[in-house]
Amino acid sequence: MPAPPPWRFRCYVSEDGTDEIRAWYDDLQALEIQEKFLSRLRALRQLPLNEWRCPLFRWLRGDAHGLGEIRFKAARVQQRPLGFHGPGSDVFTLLFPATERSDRFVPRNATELALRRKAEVEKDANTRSKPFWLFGDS
Amino acid sequence: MQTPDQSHSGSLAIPDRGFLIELTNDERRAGFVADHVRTRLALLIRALREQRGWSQAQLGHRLGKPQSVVSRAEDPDYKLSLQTLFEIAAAFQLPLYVDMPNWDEWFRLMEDMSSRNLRRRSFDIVHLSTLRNQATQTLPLTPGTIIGEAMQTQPQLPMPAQAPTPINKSHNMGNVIYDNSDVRVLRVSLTPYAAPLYSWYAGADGRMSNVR
Repeated sequence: MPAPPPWRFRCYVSEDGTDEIRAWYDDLQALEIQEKFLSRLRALRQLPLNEWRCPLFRWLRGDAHGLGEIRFKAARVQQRPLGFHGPGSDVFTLLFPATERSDRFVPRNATELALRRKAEVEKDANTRSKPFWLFGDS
Repeated sequence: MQTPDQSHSGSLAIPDRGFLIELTNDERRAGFVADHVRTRLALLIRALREQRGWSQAQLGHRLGKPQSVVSRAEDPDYKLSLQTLFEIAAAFQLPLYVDMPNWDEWFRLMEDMSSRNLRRRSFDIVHLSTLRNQATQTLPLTPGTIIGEAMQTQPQLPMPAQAPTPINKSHNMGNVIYDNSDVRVLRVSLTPYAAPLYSWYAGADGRMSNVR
């Protein structure tokens, strides 16, 4: 039986053309966040969809339905990069680099921002998202 | 320094050049490796537990530890000790293997962390004996190939599925040979199929003999 096809990751691009995930990654002061972010993306990349679950990942419910969070702790902070499954059946688009403190997202409106970005990507995936820059995905 | 390569062929398990450039930073590379190994171990422990239909509490019971220990072991952010890993491996009746491989091999080993790829079979002497028997039948035979190391005669060792082969049937190449007096062949050196077979075996008295 062949291995499952790898996921492709894409990143949200703002109106001015900035890859917001890359900008966040490049600005990180703590290497540990970069290390774990890269590690978890590579791990998730080969997992079938039904294995995108805790402790690596969690789908959100309620008002944030449709979003998922990549979960890891780095620099003593619960990191929660948010994204969604799409556009395309093998694509996960990273939308917003949230964190979590005391069971609440930081910033508090992280899921609203992510949902807004998700809508923008769904409307125009070619200009409002681009492939994750480190995996060579197209 | 020249080091032995695992393979000279390409591998798609090796990340894209852009990713590799990220790993040129020593600290980031070390942190990435540490988290990736911990992630794989966490997923491995969960996959093995679920494969056996055990709850975290049930695995904890086998370890003689509370469920919280298993929960932490399945969390990639938790730093598991080597001793705990040995204990968990023993609870699954699995061996533990620690290595510092070449990078291409490491990327290959780390590539697929899906539960399907992490299923393992607990120690099973019948299965292992069968595999060994099959291996001796299918090994590429080159002069001087040694297909087995000496092992002590174990009366409880199950016989292979097929009928025991008399030890003097030297044309039956590659079999782990059992003779009719329950003598176990310990080492077999093989020549190519068309050439004569030399078998070394030990009798129950421990003497090494040679038959052609």
